[in-house]
Amino acid sequence: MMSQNNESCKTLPAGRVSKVIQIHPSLNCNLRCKHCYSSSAPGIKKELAFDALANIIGQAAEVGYNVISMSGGEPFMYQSLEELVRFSKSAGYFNSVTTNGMLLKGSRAKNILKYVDLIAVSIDGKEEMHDHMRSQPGAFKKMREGVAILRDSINYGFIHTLLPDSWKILSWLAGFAVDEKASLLHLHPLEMSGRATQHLGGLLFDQTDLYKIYISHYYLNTYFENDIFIQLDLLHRNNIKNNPNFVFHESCKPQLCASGFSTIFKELIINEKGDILPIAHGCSPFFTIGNIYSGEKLQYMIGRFMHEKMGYIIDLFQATYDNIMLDKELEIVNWSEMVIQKSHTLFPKEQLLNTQPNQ
Amino acid sequence: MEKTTFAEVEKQLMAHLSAANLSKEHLSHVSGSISKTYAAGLRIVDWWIYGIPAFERIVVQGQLPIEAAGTFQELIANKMFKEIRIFRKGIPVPHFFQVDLTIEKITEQMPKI
Ligand code: SF4
Repeated sequence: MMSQNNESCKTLPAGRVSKVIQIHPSLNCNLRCKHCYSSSAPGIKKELAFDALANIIGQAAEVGYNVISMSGGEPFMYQSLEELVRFSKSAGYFNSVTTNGMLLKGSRAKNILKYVDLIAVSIDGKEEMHDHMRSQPGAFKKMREGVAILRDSINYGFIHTLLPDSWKILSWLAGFAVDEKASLLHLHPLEMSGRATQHLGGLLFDQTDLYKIYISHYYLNTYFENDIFIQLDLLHRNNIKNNPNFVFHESCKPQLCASGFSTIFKELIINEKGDILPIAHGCSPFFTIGNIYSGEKLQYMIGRFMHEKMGYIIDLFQATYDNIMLDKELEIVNWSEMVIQKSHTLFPKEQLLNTQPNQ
Repeated sequence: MEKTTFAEVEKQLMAHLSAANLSKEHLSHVSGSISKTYAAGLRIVDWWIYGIPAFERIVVQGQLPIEAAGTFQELIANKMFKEIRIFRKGIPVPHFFQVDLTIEKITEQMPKI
């Protein structure tokens, strides 16, 4: 996700621009949360093979990627998690894991944590709200037991899925995170996909909610500047306008070669099927770069992607940018979510490459 | 101005954002001002909201490195900031400017209830 302060986040590798591979090795989870965009749930057996993942991760380091972000499903339910984080650490990566914090007890978790640089624990609010969203009484208490393990042993933070009225609890959340000695609070707006569409389908953000969240974030980030970094995945249109991170101007079109790839796509996604995608989880399969089981070299997949799809990516970013600039009502926006939605409307799965990209 | 305590921050935020007569236009103004301070490279160190729940004005205190002084023009040109006070800081050589910005006096624009 792009954020105004993303690259200065103190929890990421100092002095390096973070280029993240976000891995969803399985959709298996010990919970069945109401807002889960990946519809993860207990009993999903399928998971990505360690060898195929390690092969791609090794090659991605040569292309410039330097952070592994494990997501899911619940990463601590992935059988090969220890092997994977040990491997990526040895390949020079900064390892981060997003977890519900309920499986952090025991020797297996302890061994895994040795190779992890940052843990992000998800939190939905105060106890009652958290347990409600997690569809499990006692989830909050168990998460806090996990946090107690992290507090004194590892750099960790919280991640909160923003709902339209989250502004009411943001100051509580920031105070809680500071008291729990977390170094990061990441605020990510609810994504209307997966199980969220079934359970929370009616919950749409209006601009008033977004203003309130934006103002609260700024206020709290200012106040707690020395205690915690609070990252918000929402942007004001003023900070998007003419910003080359969001639209490729004629004067600074990206280098269309494999070595320029990680500079353009600071996040690479490996989903639960092994598909490699740019932008974010849930982006149209039209933009699939390749698959970890294909046996192709990553450099080759990237080269082909740059040649065949980069023109469409430029169109997609431009269309999203134009959409925001033309609609004066859209002041606070979730850029990634808008790009994902547009990727599906402009480039549905069925679309064939029967026209030449404009490059 | 004293550094605001966290209890005050929580109280101010809640009272401010829950006020029944808070208009969308006002929220838009405040958000717009925030985005402008980001763009100007101002490092915000504190906020004060006056007149809860009606809130008449917001004062934002920020620091601007000497090298970024060119940004002043942008701030001055922005009509959202009704008052701008600049203090030179650092002894003996100034190494930053303290900037106090008063964001739009808004009471008169808010719908009466
Ligand atoms: S939101 Fe996270 S913890 Fe909840 S079901 Fe999805 S993957 Fe599991």
